[in-house]
Amino acid sequence: MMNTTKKKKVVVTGIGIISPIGTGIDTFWKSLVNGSSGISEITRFNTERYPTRIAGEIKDFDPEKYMQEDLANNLCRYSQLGLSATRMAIQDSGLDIGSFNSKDRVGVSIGVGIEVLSYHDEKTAIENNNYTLRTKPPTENSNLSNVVSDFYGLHGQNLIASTACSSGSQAIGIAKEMIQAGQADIVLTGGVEAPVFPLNLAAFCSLRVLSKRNEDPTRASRPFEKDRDGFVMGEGAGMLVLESEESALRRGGDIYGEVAGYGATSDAFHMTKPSVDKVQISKSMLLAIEDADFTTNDIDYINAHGTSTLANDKGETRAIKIVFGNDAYKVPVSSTKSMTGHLMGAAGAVELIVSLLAIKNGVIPPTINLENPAPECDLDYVPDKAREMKVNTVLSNSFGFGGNNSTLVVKKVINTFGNVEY
Amino acid sequence: MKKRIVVTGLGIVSPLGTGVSENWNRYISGMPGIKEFQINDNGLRAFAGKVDDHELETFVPEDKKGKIDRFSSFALVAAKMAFGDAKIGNDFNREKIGVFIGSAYGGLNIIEKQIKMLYSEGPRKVHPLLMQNSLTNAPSGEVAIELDLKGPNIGFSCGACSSEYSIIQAFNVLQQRDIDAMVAGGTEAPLLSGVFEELKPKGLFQENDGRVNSASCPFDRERNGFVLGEGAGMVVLETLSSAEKRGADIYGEFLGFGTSYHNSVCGNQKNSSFDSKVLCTEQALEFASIDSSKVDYVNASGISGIKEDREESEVIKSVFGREAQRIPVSSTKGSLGLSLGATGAIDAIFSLLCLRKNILPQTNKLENVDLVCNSLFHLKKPVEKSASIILSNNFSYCGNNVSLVFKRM
Repeated sequence: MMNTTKKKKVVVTGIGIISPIGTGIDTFWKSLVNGSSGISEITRFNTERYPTRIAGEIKDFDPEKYMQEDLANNLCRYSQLGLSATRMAIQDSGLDIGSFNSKDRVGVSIGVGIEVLSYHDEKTAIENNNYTLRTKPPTENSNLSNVVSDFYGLHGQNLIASTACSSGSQAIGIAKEMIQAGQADIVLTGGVEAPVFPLNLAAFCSLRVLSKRNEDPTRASRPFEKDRDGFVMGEGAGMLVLESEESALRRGGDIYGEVAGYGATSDAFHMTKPSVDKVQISKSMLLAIEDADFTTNDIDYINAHGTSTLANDKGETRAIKIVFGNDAYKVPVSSTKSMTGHLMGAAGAVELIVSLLAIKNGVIPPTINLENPAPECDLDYVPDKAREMKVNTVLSNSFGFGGNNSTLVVKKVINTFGNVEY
Repeated sequence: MKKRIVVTGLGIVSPLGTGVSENWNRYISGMPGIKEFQINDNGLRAFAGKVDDHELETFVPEDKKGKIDRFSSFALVAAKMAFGDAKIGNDFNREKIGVFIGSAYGGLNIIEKQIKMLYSEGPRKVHPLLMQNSLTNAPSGEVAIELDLKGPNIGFSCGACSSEYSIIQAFNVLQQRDIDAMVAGGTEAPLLSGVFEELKPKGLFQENDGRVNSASCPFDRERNGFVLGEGAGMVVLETLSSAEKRGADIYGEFLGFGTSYHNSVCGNQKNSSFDSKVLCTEQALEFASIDSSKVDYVNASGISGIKEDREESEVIKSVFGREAQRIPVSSTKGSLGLSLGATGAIDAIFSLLCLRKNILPQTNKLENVDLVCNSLFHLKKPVEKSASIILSNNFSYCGNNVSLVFKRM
């Protein structure tokens, strides 16, 4: 539209995922396809005095699998998760980053929604003997993008994009732009969050945004459902290796898909409530579709923000209808938060990974717990069972506190050399 | 075809005051901004650059007084000021202006208070404003709401280079998307005992023998570490075509930037800290298509760090060669301290003001130039000069480096 020169293609060549429904691509994907929930009672600290006592917890994460004990002891949990998922993504990509020559051309762009608070929350929980997963508190609130750069000896741009629940999505968008601007050839990007700590939980409880379905945790996250009563927070890390297509092809990297479009807007309305008119969340989707040089017709699947709050699910449904018109009823929409919970700053990245795997495997993960859709939620949300379907393009939404809207569009890549489909 | 990007508005909140002219005039007059303060209730005292609350309060919107955290107040006031300075009219499409604001410590003020509340009164007494007030994107969110700015919106956390990262990513947005202007900068309210503790091993100023004058004296032989400051710096970046279309006053053109990163303590970077900073500077000049001989003034990082200032001097000497003796250099940290997430933007603003005022500012508190920094042309008094090209460095103690290049229009 505004650029006469064609933008560089940016592709994903590696994925690392640590989530409440599994660590590693295979386990994660299997859970998605089986409609498994990762939500359970919180056991790592005392939740007696809390109205909400459930969360999406990562089971059996051992940071020492991915880094030396010294480093693991220094880092807070979200940094441990972030570095670990990055290692997984790099391994998956086949990038031999150790022997890489141009380390100033490798950027880092990570989304963390609740950075400072989570660090201090973890530290004080341990100091107050209110956290069972760890005996010694982290020693330094190192910037995660610095930590990743240090680990691999990188010296290019490195940043954390912090926009609450849309952080992961925004970080990936920024990474795409960094490559298209020619400021990096490769960017390690994604999102991380580790909010399952006492102060985080108290803060969200005080906003009355969390589900109180404590007695039935696996059915608490129920996006678009009539009896939904709030979101369930979760912890996780989704990291990706983003490269210019040129760089990927040059080194023979396998390509999951292209990050074809990115749109971001601001409601400019309220810090925690979404705007009543759905103009800016609609625009976020429109901008991403436009950026990808698509029309709404091209979108095969929408991975919704779908948090399971009254406001979001109703509002997002309306926005999808505004953007897609009558076609809104034809395109499958699902919220994988129904299984993982709301991974906050990690969500946008984890859900982009879901989108890429949906393209790769030709299966759309379901929205589970959709027993009775709310009357104002009448789209095809792929209820309860995964659906086999050829998927070439996916639109993924993330809407964060501060009226912060971010949308990514990913598409299947067809190799320009020899027409081999990836 | 690259778009030309210019600066059309400025706003500052700092230890020297609230307001761009206030800051400039007080700085040029040599006003000290660093004082000794009591930091906490336990009697901990430290040297710091603190924002005057009374003056600030007159600028904070009524409905926000006491409702947002300190770092958001700074940002909101500075952003409103910059926005007003840019004279953006009601007919400017609000979907085409975004907000990128950086901060290293975010809402630590409210976080510390609510941790105390949690452990003394329990979870149900935690304040419902905690989450939205402490997020790194609280300032950018509040600014967007206050000024009705519907474009891209991000909080950047990049340590002491947070505001520059906001500025360079805003530059990228203006280049690549259908956006006409960005409010960009940074904010920091780090004057908390926990932060002082954390930064001691990173080169924070430690008073020796009551030598008060050595608190933040860049390049001086008495320097003994950086001093924390607080505040916010905001600029309005705009495409030249948008600025020209509405007849905006332009402070200068943002030609380009360089970045690098090096962690001397525990990073695996193969290049040295020195090489890293040289690379950053050269990258900025190359991006801007400017030969080093054309630079008229270097707005140095000059954080008053013992090794940092020496290293920066060596870097400038290496990049500029013989020209290093001719090109004036100064740092603002003597009066402003190092305000981490706000620092880069505040320095960018001072750099742009040089173009407007035809004066190059001095390094306040510099009396005796350290011999190892001596190969540069340090300004101890303001100098009248119609500079055209200005290089602004931010070489932070945490490893991130950013250099910006500005040009007179």
